[in-house]
Amino acid sequence: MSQENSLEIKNLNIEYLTRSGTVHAVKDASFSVAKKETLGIVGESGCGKSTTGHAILKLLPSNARTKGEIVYKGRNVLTMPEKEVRHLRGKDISIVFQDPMTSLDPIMRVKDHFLELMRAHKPNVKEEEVIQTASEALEAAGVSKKRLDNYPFEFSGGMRQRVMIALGIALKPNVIVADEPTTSLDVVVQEQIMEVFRHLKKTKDMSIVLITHDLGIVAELADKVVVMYAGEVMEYADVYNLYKNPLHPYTQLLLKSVPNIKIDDMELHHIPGSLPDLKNLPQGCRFYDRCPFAKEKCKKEEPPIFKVDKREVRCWLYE
Amino acid sequence: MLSEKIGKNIKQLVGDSSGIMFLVGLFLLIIFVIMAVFAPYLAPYSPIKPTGAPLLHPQASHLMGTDNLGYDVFSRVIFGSRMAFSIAAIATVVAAAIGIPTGLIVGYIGGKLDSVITMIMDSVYTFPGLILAIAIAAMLGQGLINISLSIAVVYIPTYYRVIRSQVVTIKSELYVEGARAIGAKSPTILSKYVLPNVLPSTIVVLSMNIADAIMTEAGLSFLGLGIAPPTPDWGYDLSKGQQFILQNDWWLVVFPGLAIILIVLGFSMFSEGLNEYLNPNIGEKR
Amino acid sequence: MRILLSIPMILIILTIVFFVLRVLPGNPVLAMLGPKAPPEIIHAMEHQMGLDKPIIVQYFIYLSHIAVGNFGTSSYTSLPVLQELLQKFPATFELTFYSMIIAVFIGIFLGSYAAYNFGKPMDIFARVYSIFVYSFPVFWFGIMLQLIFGVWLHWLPVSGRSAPFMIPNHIYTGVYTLDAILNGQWDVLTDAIKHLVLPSFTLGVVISSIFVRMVRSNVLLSLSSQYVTAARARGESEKKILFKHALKNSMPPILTIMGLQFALLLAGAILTETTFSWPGIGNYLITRISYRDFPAIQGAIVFFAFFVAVISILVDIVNAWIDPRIRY
Repeated sequence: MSQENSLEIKNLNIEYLTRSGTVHAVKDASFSVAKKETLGIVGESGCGKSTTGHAILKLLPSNARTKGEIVYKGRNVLTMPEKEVRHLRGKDISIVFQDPMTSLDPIMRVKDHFLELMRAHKPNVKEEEVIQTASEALEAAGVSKKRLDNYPFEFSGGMRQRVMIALGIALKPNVIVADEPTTSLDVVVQEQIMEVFRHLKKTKDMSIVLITHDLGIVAELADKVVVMYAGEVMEYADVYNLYKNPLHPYTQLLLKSVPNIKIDDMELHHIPGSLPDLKNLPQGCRFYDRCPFAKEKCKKEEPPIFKVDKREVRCWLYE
Repeated sequence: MLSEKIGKNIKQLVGDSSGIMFLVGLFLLIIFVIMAVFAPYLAPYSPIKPTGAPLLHPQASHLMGTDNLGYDVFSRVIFGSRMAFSIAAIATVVAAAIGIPTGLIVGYIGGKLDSVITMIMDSVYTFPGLILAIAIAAMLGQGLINISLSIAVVYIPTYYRVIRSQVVTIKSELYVEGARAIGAKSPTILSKYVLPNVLPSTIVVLSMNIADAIMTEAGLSFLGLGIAPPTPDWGYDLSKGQQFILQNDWWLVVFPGLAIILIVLGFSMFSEGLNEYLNPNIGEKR
Repeated sequence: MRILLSIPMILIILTIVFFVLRVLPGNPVLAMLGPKAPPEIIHAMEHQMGLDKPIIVQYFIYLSHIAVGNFGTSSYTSLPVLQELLQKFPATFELTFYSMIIAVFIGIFLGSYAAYNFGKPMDIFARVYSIFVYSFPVFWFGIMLQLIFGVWLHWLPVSGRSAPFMIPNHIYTGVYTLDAILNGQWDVLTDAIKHLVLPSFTLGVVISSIFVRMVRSNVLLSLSSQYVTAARARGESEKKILFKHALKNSMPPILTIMGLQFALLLAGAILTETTFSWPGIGNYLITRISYRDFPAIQGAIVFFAFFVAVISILVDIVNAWIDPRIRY
């Protein structure tokens, strides 16, 4: 991974302080996103992938505590003053959220959203320039520029997500974080939104951090994949090798649980058991309870990251 | 074990600020209840007899001074709690006794009757309560029962609305439909399934309502529509005391006012805490 | 839509007022003339007032009179009640208007800053403020302000709308602050404002307690919504997020509840007017109650009912203006 990186995450730790205890949402996550590259982050819900995505723009709720580094252009976003982070948001790094139904302000026109975005970074921007930029971004996301004067409630879920994507790409950011952009949409619309991302990947010069639980999407779009489980990066590899030869038992099970019509095996696999309690984590490997290869050592000691031909895996099997 | 349960509940209550609020409110209420019950023993003088020179400043013999007739303000404040409690209690009970059954039955039956009664109740609810109470009190004249009734009318819709909306929700719940399907009769469904479910919010509304009733009563008697003098009454004492503020006789207005504030505060904090405890999901509404 | 809904509301209130004043014990004629009046005078009076007709007939006569703006004649001044009410209304309007501004101002600023600083000292202050102020009887708070600013500090007048001879030369609207500006009488304006400060603060502060609480919880709700995070992700500043997104989105529910609180404001206005001898409709109502002037009492209450209805219609119009979902 020698290319120039547009984003580097080093030893990221995130905790939430709640009334009932500290939730260890992300532990020691490290990975990087190269320029023009698409990185997939996959895992079950609650594994810390969205938290990681939000941390990149420093959008975590006030009860979150972070440690580690998120390096963008040589600076750590996590320790940057709020004012400077604000100038990155939307312009250098943008995000598309999971639920398009609630992501747009219901009392603002689509145009006002673009106006707000551009004024935040260029206070005396002219209205014509906003309309010009907004139209281009909307067209790229598959929305007619005629709809600039419409209110969010006049759009369907899929169209709203297109508007969110248009807002995300309008200022030509270097990185766009897509936080489960299709999860809350129905299947046909999901495919349409993925088509938008395919198009973006081909035509725009930006890195995409694609957070999803859909392994199919990752296989198709991502260059590299981070597999997360219970707040930890379990496996980090290029997409080809990961699918061909998954190393971590969790990745193996995850891939098996995807229905695949090419293989004779029509049985749907699911991974027995559930995520450990993030407030009260086990001493050893976090996947111990559900792992088919669990050993005595796995119960007692937490595995570190092992390097296996340029790939990374957190499992004692590769000691 | 019961004691264990109570202890756990108290711990749960004290754990956050709403619990502290509940306990402070409860403490205030207990003080006022003691004041009302033991008024003759606690008050140093008779509240309706001159006990010293008129308009005495607060001093050792008259802790809160005396009014223009030489009545002891402290004794009147203590006895005034009786008036506040009795009127608020009668008004609340009457309002609840009419509002709750109406809400239960109308909400359960539904249909046209429901729309008509609800519209009437909503109209009264939107109308300024005090103004309606003033109108009724003006007609009925002074007196404990009359004032209580005037206030009661104002709060009937409050009970009606809370109960009705809950009944409407509950009656479409599966377990009620199930009970009906196996042939339970309406009165059984009402008393066995619906009533226990609406009870918690009723208790909260009741305790919130007492604070409002005390406030309305104070307003009515401040306007001269309350109890005939010289019966001790905070609102009336305030309006009389106001006549003397230009000569700086502040004690005539400060103490009865504080009494009203503290009792209303007590009921508000108590019911607020109770609300969060009994209906944690209702929270900030009201 | 709302206008259609408020017609039955007004009708119901008119009906209730009618029956309260006619059916409840206490014969108005007897009350006016006193118990020792000779029977023939009582009968004559009853006939004159139409009280000898069946109650249902009386009811429809009453409704038809109100429909054409006939509120009857005051038995105390022998003037048309509507004329008297219209003459008193500007004073009540002026008081409630400024009180509302003060309440909204305190409510929006304290409420939204409390929500923004959730759990911090500002928030705790706002919560304590709203609980305490809510339990202030409005007349007691008024008397306290009179005592402090009128009696102790001698800064402000404690009663009435104006000092003697400090009345606008030409009355355009009856709202003194406005008339003084229209007339260019700056001394009258200063005097009117001085008289307004204590009553409008009294009423405004007491009402603000509910607004603070309401704004706080609604803004909290908005601040936790996805579109606020999304706006933050576009690089919007926290201040703009609070006012442009969170506050503006919480306005429709806030306004609706504020509209409901308007009833409370009017009730408070009666008490405030009495406390400050403010010559508005509330003061009129209370004075006429002591004179047992039934046409006036009835008229004032009906007038309040109309006032409440008009405000609830206005609230709906403003809501539609803010929220496009209602508008379309």
